Amino acid sequence: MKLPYERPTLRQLNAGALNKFGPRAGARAVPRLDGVRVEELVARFGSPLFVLSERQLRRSYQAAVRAFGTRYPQVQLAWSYKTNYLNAVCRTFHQEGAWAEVVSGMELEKALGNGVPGAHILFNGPGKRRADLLRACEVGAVIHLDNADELHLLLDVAAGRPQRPRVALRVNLDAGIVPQWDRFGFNLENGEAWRALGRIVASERLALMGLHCHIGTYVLHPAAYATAAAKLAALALRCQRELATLVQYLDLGGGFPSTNTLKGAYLPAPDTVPGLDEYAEAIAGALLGAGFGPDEQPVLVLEAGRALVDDAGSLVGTVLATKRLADGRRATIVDFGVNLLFTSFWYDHHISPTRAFSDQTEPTVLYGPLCMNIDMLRESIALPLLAPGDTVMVHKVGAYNMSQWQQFITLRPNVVLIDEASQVHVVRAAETLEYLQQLERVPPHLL
Amino acid sequence: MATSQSYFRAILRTYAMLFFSQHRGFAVVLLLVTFSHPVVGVAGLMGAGLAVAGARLGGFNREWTEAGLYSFNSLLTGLALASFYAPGWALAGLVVLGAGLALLLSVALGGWLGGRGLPFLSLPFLGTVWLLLLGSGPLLHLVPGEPAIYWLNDVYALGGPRLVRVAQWASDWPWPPLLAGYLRALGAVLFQHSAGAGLLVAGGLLWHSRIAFSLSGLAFLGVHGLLGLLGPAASGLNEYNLGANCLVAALAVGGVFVVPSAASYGWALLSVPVTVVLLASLSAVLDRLGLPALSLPYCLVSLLFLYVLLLRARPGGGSYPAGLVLTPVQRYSPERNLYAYATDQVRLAHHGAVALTLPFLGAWRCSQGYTDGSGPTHLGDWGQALDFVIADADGQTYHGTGLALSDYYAYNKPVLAPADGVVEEVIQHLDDNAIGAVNLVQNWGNTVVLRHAPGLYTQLSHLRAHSVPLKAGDQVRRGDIIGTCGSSGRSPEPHLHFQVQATPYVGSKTLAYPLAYFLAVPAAAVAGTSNPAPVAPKTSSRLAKLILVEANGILGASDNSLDTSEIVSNAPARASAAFKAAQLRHFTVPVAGETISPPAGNRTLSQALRFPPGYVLDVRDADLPHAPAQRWEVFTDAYNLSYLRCQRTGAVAYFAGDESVFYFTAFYGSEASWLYLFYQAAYRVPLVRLPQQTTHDAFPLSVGRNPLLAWTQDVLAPFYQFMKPTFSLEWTDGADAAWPGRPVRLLSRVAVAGFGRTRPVQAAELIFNDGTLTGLRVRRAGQVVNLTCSVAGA
Repeated sequence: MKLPYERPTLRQLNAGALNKFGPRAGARAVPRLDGVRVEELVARFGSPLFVLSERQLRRSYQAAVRAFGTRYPQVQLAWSYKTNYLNAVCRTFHQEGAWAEVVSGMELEKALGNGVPGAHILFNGPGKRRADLLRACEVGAVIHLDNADELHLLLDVAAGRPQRPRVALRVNLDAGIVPQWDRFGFNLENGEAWRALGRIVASERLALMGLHCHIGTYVLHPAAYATAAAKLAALALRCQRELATLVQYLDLGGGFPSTNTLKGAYLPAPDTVPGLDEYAEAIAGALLGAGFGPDEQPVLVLEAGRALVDDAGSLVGTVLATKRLADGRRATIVDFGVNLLFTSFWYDHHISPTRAFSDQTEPTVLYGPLCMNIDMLRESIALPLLAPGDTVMVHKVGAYNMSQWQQFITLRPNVVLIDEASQVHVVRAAETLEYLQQLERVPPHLL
Repeated sequence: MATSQSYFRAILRTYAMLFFSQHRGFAVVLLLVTFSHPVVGVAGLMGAGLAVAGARLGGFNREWTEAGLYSFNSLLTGLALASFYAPGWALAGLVVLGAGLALLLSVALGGWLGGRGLPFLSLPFLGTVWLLLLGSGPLLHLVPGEPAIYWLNDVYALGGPRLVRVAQWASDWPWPPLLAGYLRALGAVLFQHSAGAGLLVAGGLLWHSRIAFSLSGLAFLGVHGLLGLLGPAASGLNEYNLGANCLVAALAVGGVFVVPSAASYGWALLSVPVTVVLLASLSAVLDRLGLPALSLPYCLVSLLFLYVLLLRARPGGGSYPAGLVLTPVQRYSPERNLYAYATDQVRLAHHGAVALTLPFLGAWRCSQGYTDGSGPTHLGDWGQALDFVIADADGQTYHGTGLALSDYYAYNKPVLAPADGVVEEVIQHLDDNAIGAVNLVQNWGNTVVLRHAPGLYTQLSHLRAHSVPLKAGDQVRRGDIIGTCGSSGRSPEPHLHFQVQATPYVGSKTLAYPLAYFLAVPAAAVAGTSNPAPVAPKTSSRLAKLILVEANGILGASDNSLDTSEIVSNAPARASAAFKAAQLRHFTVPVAGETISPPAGNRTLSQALRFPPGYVLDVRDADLPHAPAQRWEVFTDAYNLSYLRCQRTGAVAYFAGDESVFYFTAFYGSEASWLYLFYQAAYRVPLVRLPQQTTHDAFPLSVGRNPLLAWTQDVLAPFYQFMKPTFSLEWTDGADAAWPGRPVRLLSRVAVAGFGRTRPVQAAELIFNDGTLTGLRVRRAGQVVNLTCSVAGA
């Protein structure tokens, strides 16, 4: 067989301690995704291409339920819409039993459109308008109050309603991590949260359902969750004791990390990030030890987003060109940029080729196709000797990319879902110029 | 007013009690029949009335008094005395004396025999009559009466020549001799000697119970056949002896005190020759004393036949149709006894058992069940044990390589106490094995043994080393963490071993004992999750919608109809495949391969259906909101069983339940009461949210039916049941019910299945709000009853 051509490369030899696993560096090739050949995917759906694995979505969800559900009696996951609100993804999670956690009127409508009953929608977010609150009351969603002005607005909205709107109080607290997230909700330590709870119960216009806190994002310390859970449980018990109100659920938010390596991390994430089990152990331990009566244990609600979806998404792209920069470094230009891979601002994504190469790798800068200086995906990554036309795959891109992506300079590509029978479904079609312009209006004098 | 009403009710029941019945119509028939000799009738009524009054005044067991149990012997005494002696003041005095004496004997014998689980039958009557016969001779000079001979005089006095003509016509009617014999025998129980009276009694008996009627016929044919075999010498059996002894004995041992079945029919038939022989021998002895045998043979035979059943080491039982089973709760109707037994046998099999719940949280797979010969361990006397692991959707019990203990999902997961108890023994010093290795010396590994009741222990084994926060003697509550799952002892990979045992030692022999409640996903369904297409049970959802729309159509559309239809249409988008397939199991043992998890309760339902004693519900017709409410109050009886009692009708519905389910166990009283509608509507309510699942149960056959089919079924019931009344219940809404303060709506249906057809009897909607039952809408026989309920005093 004739071997594929690889361009020559020059590398400086460094004398160092030998790696006992040999000189091999760089990622192994990943030619298939859930039994479907990447080559075939690109041929059918073009490049770049987002690929979602339904199997992985379900496995991640089930793993989270297992981690928490085998440690605490009543656990409910609420899918964080903002992490990825493609309907196919949301519906997969809802089918597994997830509720919806939404942060805007738009997400609320999306959740309703996905068949989530109002009672299973938790409405977070600091920016709820009167119309959003009205709609939430109408469908019976649980409103997570963020500030006193919102509380007063809701009291006003609730005045004429036949049924009391369900609310939960969003609390921010010192869980021992820095920076402390104090911009969302009412502060616990200065008594703001307790005053708000008193106001809610005294008003008799709102039905207090739960307490919520979200201590941060990509939090690497399970102990912080234990602290937060213990503080929230103490607040719930105080509610029960002093306000005669049984708190139905404690929402510990999300913020659990995925195994994507943060920029600047010394070691790769799979080796350093605690598993979901450690978070579950911390939270369940704190709640079980909080002193709730056997019939009074609140439901534990979690709004995991990233931990559920990140692993299930991959981005396939094509090498457009390689070149050598003035300082001698190799640069590779691919057909997806920061417009599609928003998370490349935070993570050193794991990127692998999709066919076998020789063992030779070369450090390269990875650029996107945008005509913008910021469009750099990796400052330095060891990749095989790629040639234009080769495809590469970025792993674990399921979270945030498909909701924070930008239509900028280019159009957004197809998103496909590989189901558990290895059938491929387009779940969001590639954008067209017509789609892009359909909302544009040209004033008559410019026609 | 109410007391006089209950007084007359008790007198009426006294009459029915002669045939072990509480049937009011039958009682009226019997009362009328006794009045075919007015003097006899008056004497009987006097006896019954005095006895009921005496029992009430004396403050004896109210239930027995109301049922006529204390007074039927006085009634018999009155009837008998009036048949023996001519009317007059002396007779009246004798009847008063006899009634009183019979009452005293009834109470005394009731206390003595009742404590032994035996009925006192007509022994008080026998004693009274003998005493009076022996004693009144020397003391009083009573003229023997011959009402039986000159009975037409009485008839003339009662109804003039016209009635005489009717009576003559009835007695001259050319009855076939066999039938006439049967009818006269039945009549003789009431000291009547005409076939006409017998015909009325027979009709009443048939009205009351088809089984009792068929038993009386069987016994009569038995006697007839026996006498045929013995020849003319033995034909001296008079009608009274035939009726009051052979027939009634057969009835007692075949259908009343024993649950009717093919075996009980045989038992009844067997009683016939014994009664006949006893009759002959007792008559011979008693004749010398100048005493009539009366119903002594019946009493002795019945007591003998029941007492030997009572003394069996292994009481009969088994599923329907059963062997010889003593009636557990007397319902005074062979049919009701049978139907209640047949359903209770299944429904209440574990009544009173200690409720053991799952010893873990979340979904675990049963990796080894009770001995089926396939597992490597759990053999022989140690076979009734369960092993649990945690498995993912691919059936794997670990992630990663599975070479480290911490790769296993089960490792270090909390293990819970399955019930309240005391820690009997703790072993926790043994190290966990490496994966694949086993410790055959200390094969149970780290173990906790808990004592839940005398002779009931549970053992939880293979715990993680030093994970037990308890020591021997500590008290634990259900659900307390008693350690974490490990891999010590004979455990190649982390798993939990759970067994129930009768002795407190580590490694005791196992005891088969069910788990009280859990959700189970069968093995096949777990494997099949690869394609979890949302196959919603469309029909049942449509059914739910239909019933609701109908109900709303009749009752004026409420805002809820909109909600529900929306939820129903969206239903397929929700609920995971695994969740959908999970079935609530009650008092069963998990089998290998099943994935089981503890159910999550619904607070609204648990609160609403807890019904603590003293809890009172006011029930009103929603269409007549100003009419006075019916009150349902919760009581507990002497056996600590709870029941709801309707104060208006006196109807009583017994219920039971645990954290996972509420169910009615029995209903007594008027089927026209609202409580009966509630009994049928909430026959079984899981207190666990099971959206899109239907709960099924079976009613006793005494539930609403087509009369012709029902009578046919009654006759065949001891042998075969072709009609099956069924109960089903489903949630109409899913999401809102999870929250307190929002209504929970349940739809239930009662139907009778038979001959491949299902005929609906009742459709009901139960509405719960804020932890109470607030509404009940029932559609039954084309009528809609719309009730609202509220907690009295709340």
